Amino acid sequence: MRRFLLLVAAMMVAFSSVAQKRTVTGLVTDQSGAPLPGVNIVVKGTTNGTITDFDGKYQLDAKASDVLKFSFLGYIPQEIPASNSVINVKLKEDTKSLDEVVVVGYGTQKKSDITGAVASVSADDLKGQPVSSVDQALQGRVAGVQITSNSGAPGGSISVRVRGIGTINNADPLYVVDGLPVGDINFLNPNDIASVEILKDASASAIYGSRGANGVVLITTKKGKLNSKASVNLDVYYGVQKVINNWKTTTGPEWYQIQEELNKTRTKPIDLSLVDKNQNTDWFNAITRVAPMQNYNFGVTGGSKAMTYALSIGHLNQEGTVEGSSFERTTGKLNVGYQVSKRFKIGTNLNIEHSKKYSISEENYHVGVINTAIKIEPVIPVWKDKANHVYDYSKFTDYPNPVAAIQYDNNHSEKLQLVGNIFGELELAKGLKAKTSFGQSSYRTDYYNFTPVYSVNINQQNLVNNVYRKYARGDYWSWENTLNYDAAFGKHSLSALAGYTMEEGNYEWFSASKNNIPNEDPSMWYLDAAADGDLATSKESSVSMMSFLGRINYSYENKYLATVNFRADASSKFPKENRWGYFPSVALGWKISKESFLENATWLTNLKLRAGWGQIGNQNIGSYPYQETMNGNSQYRYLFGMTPTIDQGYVVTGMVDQSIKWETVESLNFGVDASFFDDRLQTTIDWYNKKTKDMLVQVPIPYYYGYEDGPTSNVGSVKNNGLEVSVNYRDRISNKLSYNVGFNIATVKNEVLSLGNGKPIAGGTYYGGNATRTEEGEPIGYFYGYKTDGVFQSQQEIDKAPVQEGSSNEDLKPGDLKFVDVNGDGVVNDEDKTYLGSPIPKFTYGFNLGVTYGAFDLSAFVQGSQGNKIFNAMKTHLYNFDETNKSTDMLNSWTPTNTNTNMPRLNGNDKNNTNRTSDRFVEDGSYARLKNITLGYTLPKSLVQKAGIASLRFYVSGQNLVTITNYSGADPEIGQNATDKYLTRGVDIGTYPQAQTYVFGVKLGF
Amino acid sequence: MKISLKTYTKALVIGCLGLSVVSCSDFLDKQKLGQETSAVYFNSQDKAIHSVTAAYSDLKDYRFGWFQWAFGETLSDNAIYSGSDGDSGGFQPLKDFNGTADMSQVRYKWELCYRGINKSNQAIEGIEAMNDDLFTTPGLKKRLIAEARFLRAYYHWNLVITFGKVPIVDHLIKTADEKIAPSSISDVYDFIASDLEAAEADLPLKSEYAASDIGRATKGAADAFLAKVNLYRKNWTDAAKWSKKVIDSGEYQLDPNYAHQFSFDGENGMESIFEIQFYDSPTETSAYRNNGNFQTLFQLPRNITYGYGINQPTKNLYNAFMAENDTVRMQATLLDTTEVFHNELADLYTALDQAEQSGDQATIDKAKANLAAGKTRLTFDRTGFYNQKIYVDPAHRATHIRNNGNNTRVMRYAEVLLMYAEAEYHLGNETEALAKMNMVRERVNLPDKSVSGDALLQAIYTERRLELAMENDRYPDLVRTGRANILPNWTEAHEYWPVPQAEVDITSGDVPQNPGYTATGN
Repeated sequence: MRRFLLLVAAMMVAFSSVAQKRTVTGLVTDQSGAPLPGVNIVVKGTTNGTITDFDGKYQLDAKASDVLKFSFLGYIPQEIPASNSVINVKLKEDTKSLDEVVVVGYGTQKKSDITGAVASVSADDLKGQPVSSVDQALQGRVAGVQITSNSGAPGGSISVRVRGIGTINNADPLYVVDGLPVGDINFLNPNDIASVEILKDASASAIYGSRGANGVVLITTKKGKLNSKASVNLDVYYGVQKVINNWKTTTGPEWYQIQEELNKTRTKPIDLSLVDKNQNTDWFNAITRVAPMQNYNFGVTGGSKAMTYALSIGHLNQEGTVEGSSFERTTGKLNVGYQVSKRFKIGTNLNIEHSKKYSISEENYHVGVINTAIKIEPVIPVWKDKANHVYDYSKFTDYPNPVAAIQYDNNHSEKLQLVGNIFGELELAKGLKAKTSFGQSSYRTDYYNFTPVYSVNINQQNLVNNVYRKYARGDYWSWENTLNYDAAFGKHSLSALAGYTMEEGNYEWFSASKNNIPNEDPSMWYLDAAADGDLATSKESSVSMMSFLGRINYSYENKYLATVNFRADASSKFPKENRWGYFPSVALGWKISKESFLENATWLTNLKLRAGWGQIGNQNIGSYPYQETMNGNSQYRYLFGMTPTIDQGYVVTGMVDQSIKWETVESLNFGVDASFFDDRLQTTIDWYNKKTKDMLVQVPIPYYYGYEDGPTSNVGSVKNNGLEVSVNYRDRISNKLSYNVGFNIATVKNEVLSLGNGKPIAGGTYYGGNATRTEEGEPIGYFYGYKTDGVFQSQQEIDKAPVQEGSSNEDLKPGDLKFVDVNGDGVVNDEDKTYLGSPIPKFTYGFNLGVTYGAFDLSAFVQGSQGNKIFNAMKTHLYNFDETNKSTDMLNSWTPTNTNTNMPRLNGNDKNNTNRTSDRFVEDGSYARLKNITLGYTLPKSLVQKAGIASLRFYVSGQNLVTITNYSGADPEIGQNATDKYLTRGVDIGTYPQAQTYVFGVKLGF
Repeated sequence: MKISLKTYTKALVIGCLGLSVVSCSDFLDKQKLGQETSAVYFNSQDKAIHSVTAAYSDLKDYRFGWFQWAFGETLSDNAIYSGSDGDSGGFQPLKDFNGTADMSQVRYKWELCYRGINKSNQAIEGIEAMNDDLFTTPGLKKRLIAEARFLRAYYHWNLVITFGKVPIVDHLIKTADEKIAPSSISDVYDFIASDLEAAEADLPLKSEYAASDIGRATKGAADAFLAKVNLYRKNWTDAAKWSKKVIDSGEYQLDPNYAHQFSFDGENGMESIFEIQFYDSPTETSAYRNNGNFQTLFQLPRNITYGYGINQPTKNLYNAFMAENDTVRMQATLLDTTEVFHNELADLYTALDQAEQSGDQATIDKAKANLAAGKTRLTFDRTGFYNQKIYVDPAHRATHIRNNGNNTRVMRYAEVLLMYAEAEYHLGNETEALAKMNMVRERVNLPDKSVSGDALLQAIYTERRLELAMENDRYPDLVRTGRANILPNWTEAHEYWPVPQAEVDITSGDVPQNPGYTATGN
């Protein structure tokens, strides 16, 4: 838009006629006195005008009776009579958000001209949260963007879902940082972010074609401004984190009492003399700690006449609330722009990140550290003999001692990542600009592990020490070339974009391990030191893509808007015949408030209707989905010869669909942007319907085909629709007091329309089987199992009841759990398994409040999720009639004298399969969380300036201070069990819980 | 820094040209790295060999071996499933001839055979399409195809005796829309015979193979299976013809020491026609990847060794040996509990001996107590017998539980003699039948029999049982000869296993459930 204005101004100069005039000169600056180049100056009511030069100076012929109008994007226009021959002007920044410039992919647009569903979050909205990643800071900020931590571990993964879940496959959005597509944004320091834009619908994201289906997150990092003084900032905070743990498990004596009761009915009672009834170990407590977190950011931004710069260095050091986990990250950033000449500009954006992460075993539902800490018996002490470092162990199960597991695990990784681009932009003619940009994103990750010789007991021992090393690298480059054309003809204005891009990525990892290191000193934890057991594996892939893209923004009378996007992508992932994918979109906007019939409605500042349609793709489906490969797995070896020698066989084990192509999403969006009372109240409402076609589903094949896996084909379909509303109100009551409140809410309805001929897909594996199922007519990954209906209260009730398990109810007694015969055929069996709830919330919301009173500022932010269910897989242990730790609910088990309960009788000889996957373990996962509250105090300028300081602010901040939920596990924020296990959403197998964080910080500006 | 506009423009133009010169398909053609695609694979003799190796590999898969004995022996009067209560209970429906279509055992049997068939087809079609010049001799190309055809026939034969009507997969299936309906039992046998006949023409004799190729399918193996297949379809002429061909080949003879052929030393020995090869390889230990014999782990006595104590021979089998006074084969086939203790607790017995020599009563008592305690380690011994033919004594036992290197004997010369005897009996040549049967008896020091008529046939049947006991032949043999009704709970309706429910479901009933089983598998 800025270009557009420049163009208009230039045309005005060209066509102006000269009359009786004198020369007016002056300097235009911002409030701080920094010169503003490019300010548009027009003699009001004429086409006579000019623009300021690089020094903010201008010269214009005008009559003394003329009025000069000074306007500049982002500033409040001023009108000044040209009575003096020197007129210096200070322009005030316009904080009205509707004039904000929004990044839309390969360019920017005025927010008021946006026709698609684009959400914009500024750095101000994100600041202050003590979190390590931008994703986390975005949680609850944007309607329709559901962000869930998969793990509370420092540096843990986060799943971001834009407008529901579009596919059973990878539904991660595309991230674009300063124009460069990247796989994730963990390398970014949240402090370096200037703004985040999320392209939610196809009409906005179609410009990213085959990668836009799951939404696009555009991140712009902080840049310097031309002609601005260097601003130096130092921001330091220190905090402590405390794990959130709401598990209610038994104490040692309680556990013992339950086991004594169970022993009465066990065919083989467990030997309780092996344990001390009064021992009471809180295992969860034993693996957790109060963990410190500290963060340092130092930055300098500024600009000269021709150059802008922003440089920053950050360091984060976060210990995990679970022992053995930590994350340390150092980031460096440099953004530079240089105006080589009037028409030629160059620049670079560079990021460098180094991180070091210690992690614990989390994803394993059998021996995961948190999982075992929840289920191991409380009567077992951590130590058998602490002085001699001898751990104790479970006397009844084969689950490991989690404290020992942490100690013997030395798993950690170090990552170095470089992301950056360089660009040049040339104005070829008026309104026509060519830009070329070359970007590179490279990472190197080193993984280290060492497993010492140890023996806790037979189930937890390692007899031969082992050293493990892995190295992974990724190198991706992208070359983008675009042409931009802006023009206005009378009432028409047009902005067009055309471009082509080439991209290539090369990825590789290899790992090696060896055994038998002669001594276990850390200096020997290297492959070099090990004697034998050499094992090496690797994986490598290469992908490339070539694209043409185009966009036209057209507006008529600045009232009627139209945007057309088009992208053609050709990807190496697909066979030649299906290589090209075409992704069109169109969107229309109508600024009703500009119509004459609303001109007099002073309460209404802006009202715009939007409608958009588009098709976009998802190609997150592996690098070579169509290539049928020979499998040389060691399983396919055979032996020949009198002295057996192994011959490695090669064979195709997976069928491949040679005609595989992209998943396509077609989306329709209707929206309203409205603002009232001089923009004090702003609201955006969107309704969308998004349909994924050609979803890749593994097609089941008959066993007689003889392949191990069927082909993955474009046969599935998924629908998401919902409504998104966000409302913001800001006001200044006095010079001292201003405030803002905001609210956003989004509904989503997700439904699998088709899996082709595919059968339902079981997912969410836990120790008792599968918790989730994906099938036609239901949401992705819904919970599936038996329904229960309390407990049997009498023998008569049992006799009348459908067969619960096996062939008769003869083994059942009052107090046993009652399963529902859903289909009414008299037998409870597989066919009675049914829908038990969905992990997808009915709606998610966020609420924020900010108040500034004099030197104090307060902000609070609440975020929540409503209507989603959690499958509490840990409860299948805690409710089991076995030897593991028990839920305190078990103390309220049915007995002939305690009949008013849903907890079945304690039965050590359970013939009812009581703990099968059922609604007993499906809980309401709704929650409302006070995500952040921050109180700041800024010292008076008069005071600090004496010390040569521009600004000094102290703040305290609390993260996750209050969570309101009915969920009985540690914490209701349950994502996926692992980043690539898409159908495990909401299954709690001992998720690393979120932490409460208390932070104190200082921000210093020079 | 000064860059002239001209230079920049030039760079841009070159860049644009560059784009059009770098042809789209060059830039976008990405070969899969680190793994060959099937499109380019078959381009050398070595790769052809490796392709056939994969077809053999399913023989080694533990889930294939599992249902060789679980079907061949456990269903019969020779053995019970045994193992823990869970193991035993899990198999009981099948043992009671009331197995259900959703049992994983049923699916494994079906699945593994078809995997082997698919791999055989990949090898056959891949190698057939190769240029002859790629092979050092034309014979090698033919041999490799013949080996794969032998395997394809062998896997189909396993299917037909277990499930009856099954789909014949005689080519490589390439797209997911192909449908093959099950064929009649006789058509399946015809297909198996034709594959074996084609294979036997191109397969070398055992003696023609290099020592490094021992273990591959031979002409003798194909001939012996042709005899067996014809025996199953009661084509006595062909059964006699093919078994005679094996006998006349002079390639095989009876091992004078019956037990020796089941030892490590006897592997691939003079009597051996086809064996599944195993090897205690130090590098693989997991269930699917190991090169050892998982079946040994299954059948070693429970807890006193690392074994599971499954497939325990019955007293009925012991009695059958004793009825014939057949101690040689009884001892080579059955390992009784006392022997187990002596083998597994040798050190405790030695300690007791030493204690007894010392005469110190306290030491003797302690040693006795230790031995008694040692004996209690043997659990779930339900019959008092274990399978001696697969037992590996402590001295030879692999350290890793799944790695025992003992081969599984699939076809022996003694069986060929008995097949020939049976076929000749049916063709009316009782003398010839008697002679071959007595050859087998003489080897184990049993007196010649001189019977005729049905008594001779029954004698041959008995001989088969004793000679091949615990070698996975008994149940299909009883079915074949119409004698399976001696088994408790057996019904002709459940003579075959049900088709896996998953297969019925996936094919939407195009592969229907076997008669006698309901759609839901009850």
